[in-house]
Amino acid sequence: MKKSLLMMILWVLCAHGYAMQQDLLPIRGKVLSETNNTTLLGVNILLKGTSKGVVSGNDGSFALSLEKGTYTLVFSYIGYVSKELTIHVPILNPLEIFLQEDEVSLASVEVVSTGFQELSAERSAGSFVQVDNKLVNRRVGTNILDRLEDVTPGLIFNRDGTDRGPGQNISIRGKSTFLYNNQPLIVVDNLAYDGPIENINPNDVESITVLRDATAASIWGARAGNGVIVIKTKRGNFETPLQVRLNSNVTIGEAWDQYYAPKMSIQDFLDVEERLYSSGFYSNRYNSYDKQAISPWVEDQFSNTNGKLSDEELSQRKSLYQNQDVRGDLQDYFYRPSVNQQYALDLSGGSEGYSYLFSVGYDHNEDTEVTRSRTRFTLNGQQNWKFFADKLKLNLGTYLIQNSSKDGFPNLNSLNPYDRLVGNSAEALPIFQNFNERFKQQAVNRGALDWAYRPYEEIGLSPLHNTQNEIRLNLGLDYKIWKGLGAQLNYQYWNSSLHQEQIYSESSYFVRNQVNLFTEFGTAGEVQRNMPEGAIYDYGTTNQQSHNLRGQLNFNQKWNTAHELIALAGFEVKDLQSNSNSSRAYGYDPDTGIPTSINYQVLYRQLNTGFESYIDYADSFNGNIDRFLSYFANAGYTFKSKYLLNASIRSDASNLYGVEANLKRVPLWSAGIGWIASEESWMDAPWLDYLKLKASYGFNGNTNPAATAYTTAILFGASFNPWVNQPWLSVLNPPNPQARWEKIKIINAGVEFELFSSRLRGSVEGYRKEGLDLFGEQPYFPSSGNNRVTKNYANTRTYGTDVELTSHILEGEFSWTISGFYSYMQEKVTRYDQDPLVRNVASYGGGGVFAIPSPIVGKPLQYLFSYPFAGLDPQSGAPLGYLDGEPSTNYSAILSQTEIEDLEYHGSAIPTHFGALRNQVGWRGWELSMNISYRLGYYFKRETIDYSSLNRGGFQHADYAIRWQNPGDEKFTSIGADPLVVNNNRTSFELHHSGQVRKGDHIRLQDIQLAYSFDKSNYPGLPFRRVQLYSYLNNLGILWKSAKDVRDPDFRNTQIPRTYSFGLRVDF
Amino acid sequence: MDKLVKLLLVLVAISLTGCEDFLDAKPQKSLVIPNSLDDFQAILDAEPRYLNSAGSLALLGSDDMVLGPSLLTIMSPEERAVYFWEKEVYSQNDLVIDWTLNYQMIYYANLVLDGLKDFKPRNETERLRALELQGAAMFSRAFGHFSLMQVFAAPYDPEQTSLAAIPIRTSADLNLATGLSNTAEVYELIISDLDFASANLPDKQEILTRASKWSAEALLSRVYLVMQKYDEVFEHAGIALSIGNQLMNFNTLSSGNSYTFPRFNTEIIHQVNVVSTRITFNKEQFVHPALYDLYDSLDLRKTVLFDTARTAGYVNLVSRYSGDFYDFGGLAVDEVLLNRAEAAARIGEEDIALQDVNRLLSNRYIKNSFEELELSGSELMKRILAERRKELLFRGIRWMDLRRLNQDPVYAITLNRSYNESDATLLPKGSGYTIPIPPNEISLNPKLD
Repeated sequence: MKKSLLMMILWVLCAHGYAMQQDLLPIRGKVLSETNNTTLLGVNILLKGTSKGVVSGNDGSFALSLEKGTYTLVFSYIGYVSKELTIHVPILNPLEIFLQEDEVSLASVEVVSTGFQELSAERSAGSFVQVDNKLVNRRVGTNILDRLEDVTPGLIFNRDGTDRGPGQNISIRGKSTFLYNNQPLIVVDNLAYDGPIENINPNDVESITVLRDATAASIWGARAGNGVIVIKTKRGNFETPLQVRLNSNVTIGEAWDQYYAPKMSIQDFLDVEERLYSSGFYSNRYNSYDKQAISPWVEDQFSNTNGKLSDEELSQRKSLYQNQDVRGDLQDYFYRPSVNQQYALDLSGGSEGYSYLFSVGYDHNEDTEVTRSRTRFTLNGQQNWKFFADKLKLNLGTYLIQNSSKDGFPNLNSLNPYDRLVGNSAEALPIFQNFNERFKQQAVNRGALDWAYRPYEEIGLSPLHNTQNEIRLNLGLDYKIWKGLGAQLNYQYWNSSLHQEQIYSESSYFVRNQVNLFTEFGTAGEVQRNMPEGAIYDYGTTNQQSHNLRGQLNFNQKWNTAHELIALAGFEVKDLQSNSNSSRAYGYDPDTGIPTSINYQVLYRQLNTGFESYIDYADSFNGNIDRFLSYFANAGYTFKSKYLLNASIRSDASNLYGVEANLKRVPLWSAGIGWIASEESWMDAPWLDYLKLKASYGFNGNTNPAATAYTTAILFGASFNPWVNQPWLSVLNPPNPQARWEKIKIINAGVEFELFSSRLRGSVEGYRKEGLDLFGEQPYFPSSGNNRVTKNYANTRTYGTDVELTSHILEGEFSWTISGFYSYMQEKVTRYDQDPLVRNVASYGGGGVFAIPSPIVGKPLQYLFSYPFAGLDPQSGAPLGYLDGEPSTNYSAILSQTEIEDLEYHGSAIPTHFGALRNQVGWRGWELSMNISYRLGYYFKRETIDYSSLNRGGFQHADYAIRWQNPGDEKFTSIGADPLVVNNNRTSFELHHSGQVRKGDHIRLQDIQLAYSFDKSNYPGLPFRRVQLYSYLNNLGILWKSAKDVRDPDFRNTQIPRTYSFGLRVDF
Repeated sequence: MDKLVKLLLVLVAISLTGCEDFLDAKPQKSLVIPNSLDDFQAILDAEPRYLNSAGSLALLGSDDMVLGPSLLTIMSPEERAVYFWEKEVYSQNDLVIDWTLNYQMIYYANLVLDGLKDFKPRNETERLRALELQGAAMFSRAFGHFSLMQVFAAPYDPEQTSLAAIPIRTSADLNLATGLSNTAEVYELIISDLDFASANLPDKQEILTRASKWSAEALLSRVYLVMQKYDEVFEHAGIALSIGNQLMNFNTLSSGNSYTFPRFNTEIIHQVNVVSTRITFNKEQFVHPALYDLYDSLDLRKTVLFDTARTAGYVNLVSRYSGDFYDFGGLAVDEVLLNRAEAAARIGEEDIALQDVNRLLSNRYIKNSFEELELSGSELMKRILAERRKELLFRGIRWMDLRRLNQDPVYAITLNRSYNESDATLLPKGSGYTIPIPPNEISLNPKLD
């Protein structure tokens, strides 16, 4: 593609060329890698049609002499696509030739990193997925992990939203643990990374390797249970002149759509409030002991009944409310399109014994919530030295990261759907908050501070600032001791300090509300403020630091071409400590920095309830220490370049608390075999380039702080014990002398192949993963004193297949590549020590509510069950369930008498089939790629109306409009009639019956990337070496979905915003 | 290069030798493996973990309170069922706080008792303090088991003590499940725990949430009253009163406090609060009109304890012995005095009975308006029981008294709830006096099924 452009330009240039001469004319040039601008040494440069040629030298340069005329040069280099260049001698400027990395034959040169060694994937029986620099750069964004989405077979971004935000929750080949540490281990530059993953600048990343099976990952031992992601950062190259690269882009995301979640109409909601009012529902709330607020429309109706509001005014109010929608104000004044800016600059180069790369990165993200923003500043230095004829290598990595965020977004938790937040002349309007207006007004009249909550005015009034500074130093020493024997030492020092502060300004509602609650009125009308006026200042600091040292001996030896051994052994020590404290100051003056002293020991009467309360004492201190001591060994043996044997062992010990000494240590091992069949002389098919069969077996582990043999308790200060006023212990973990380590046993087998001159390349792997003695929190008989207990309670078994295929359909000026993967995963619980509770089983998987599934033997851990639904009662519109096989509305009996066998089983609640298909076409400098992802074989319960919430005055789902209202409606709708009362049993049934279950299957157009590049070989007059302009559109939408009545099966309540990115890369 | 190898070896050696200490660091500052006497005391001081709490079902089921219609709509199904004395209490697998909090109290006590078994005192002071803590833990264990018996076991009938009651917990080991013990076994444990506590605890404690000989004896008098062993009631109430018998005079209560009674008022023997529920704060929680009618106009309690409710014809309780908004669930001098009065009357010590009642009432009536009672026989008995009803309201004691006195046809009464459309009735020996064991205990406990 580029070839032709180049040809064209050269041709144009030569048209204005020199006079003809028959002398030999010099031709100079340089060959570089397109991916990272490194000069390529040893490139074969051949004059096409002859045997004449040269080889590029140390700095990639070459020179030859030709007579005047037109020639075609062929550049070929292992691992790169050969390039032909037609030149017309004489030429004016030295040539610069960029060679493109050959993805086709990656398998044969692919170097993967385990964090302990770099090895050729060909020589290992392990299961690796490498995401190379090109793929890392394909996406645009702040977070490095996003770059793995939809390009890594077996890796899925969970969207159940239960534990972490979107994009934060990753599973590699299924979930391996139920508890806290269920995320993969992240390794950066050979050692485990302790900081937040958001701090890694994707522009500093060279490649990412995902370790999937025991052979690949078990060298990480007790931390590898959830898989390992190894990130390799960019380095400078020796003997390369200074190179400067710039990347800059901007990403614009849609503003959060307030109308995304389907909600009932305002009119309907007002009618419901009116009905509840007339049924007397609010009478207790109207005069509640704590003076809680009720909604404006309900308050108006009380005023009307009390004679304070005429009938006419009342109906005016209602028509006013009908035409108001708080979401409009939110959209206009509180949310905006997000804008992320990213700039990255790096300089690299090197001399014979020294190389360097320095980079600076700046990211500024303005979130969709106004005033919410985040800035990341990264400085990175990578220096390498070689001494004593390359015998000693020294590497020093220095990273400085500052991550700061600001958030002044107001609290919007108790909005009424028909509230107005901003007036016609853009003035902030008050809404009802916390307490009713009658109480507030009365208090203000007696001398309390202004008690109105005006959200629009609160924007930016109490900003929360977070500043994190991180330093990471990596020192690597590599010494060749003798022949194949080398010693390697890696040390990492990591330090992070996080400072968090929030000043609630004096005029903020938060402060006024607190001050008012601690106000007392004397009988003579005097006002006693027990909490000082002035700002409230919350601040806290967390300091963390870790030392990580690893020493290892490497052995690498070949004997008489038949035997090759690569082995390593060593130890690793790690110490991670953190200290944190937080505090609060009252009556704080931001100008002078002086707070007002508070007596926390005095009980003050609260204005709303009359109850006594202390002023919140918010000081806390904490400290953590995590320590690991590990020994490891790993060996790879290759016989006759075709039979492979890998083995690995690691033993980890940690300072787990309350654990018997023998349980502090766990040894884990793995072994693998491989056979490169295509190396066999008898396997001589011309279409077969490469074929490898492999198998592995082994164990990974999980550390678990809940595995305690002794009682552990946490100490609280006397301030948290107002009745006793003494320090006290809260028991954390009951003693469990039978606790064991979690282990993951993995069997993996696969085949890798390249066919038809590397036109088709791929791999197929099948695995079985067994989770043994998994820890989980299970409901326990309460007479033990514990309602839930964490124990080894389950085993799981996961079968899966990962298929990856890349096909180069067209090559040449117009190129077309299709890459895709398909992952299948079926997980099953094989042991669970308890009978699950039917109610918990049936209610799992409804909405985004956090729920822990109760495992059921023989079913996936995340399953979907429902109560069988028998339609709506034609007379009453009530949803019907089954009781003893008969349709019934006896919900309490249905809930208590239905057995697990009576429930309807749908299947897995997480995708069992998923993957992506990426089409990539190139033409001249243009490149277009498009990723389509799919997730299949899972179920969810669609959100619907919760009548219990509705009848407690809650603003509910849009299904209200299509509910059963008259006999006959049951033919058109499955949404039950409004029971008009709170009936929790009916609601439990209604939210979890089979009529709400939908298939989650869908196909999504994930993203489109379009780029245009040109370089000096096309435009010799270009002041830059190479320029790429690119755009990237993400989250484009659903192409097909099985469930027609939800907008997006994976994002049902909050949208995943589309983003549009534009940027350029310049190599100077 | 040799140096480098040596350095590596040295590092390995260091890490090997240092590894014992290296891995013994505490992962979190505030983490503790409880093994010192201070730790055990801190476990028993865990008031926020229910060590000084009582459940609310005994209040809810009794005729102390009447609930308004809008409150009834927001109660949990379990609370409603107990209030209306329904047979089926549980429609869901939800936890019942009365069950869990008492077993949590027992669990914390057992952690201390298990821990003390391995504790080696280094001197006499430590040995005595360990005994004291053992006594305190046994007190909490007895309190928990006794509270459970009043709600989840059938009313104590001296003739039928072999009925299956509740699981007894004497170990904190999670892997040990226990089935139901019978009534006699449970009371045997309660009494032996309390006897030990009484023998080893100091007479009084500065901190009134901690157990003392005083509180152990007071609780013994309550336990024996439930068991209808009046000689023992008389004896243990007497011991408790000999340690402390001071009463508040309602004529001299200081005004201007948030709550009528201060925290830890002079009558408190052991501080326990009833857990708060949505009923606690609700203004539709009324005092039963029949109860309010019992107070005569000279009785200060009529003005001190109550305030007119928003709903006409009703009063709310506004003053509680907790000195806070919580209902009081602990032990106080007034109760022990009335325990002794009743026991004295029953065992023929009418002088002492009269003396106790008169002493109480002279502190409750308007100054100089009270004329000493001169009653005897059943008149005296009836008056004592009426005074129990008036003095010990909203403490869960009425529930125990109903369960006990209903066995005597003379005092047996039938309760009615007429507030709801569907009238509920609780006969003297009705099943509503026994709340069934929560279904999740039955389904999760391998020893029950």
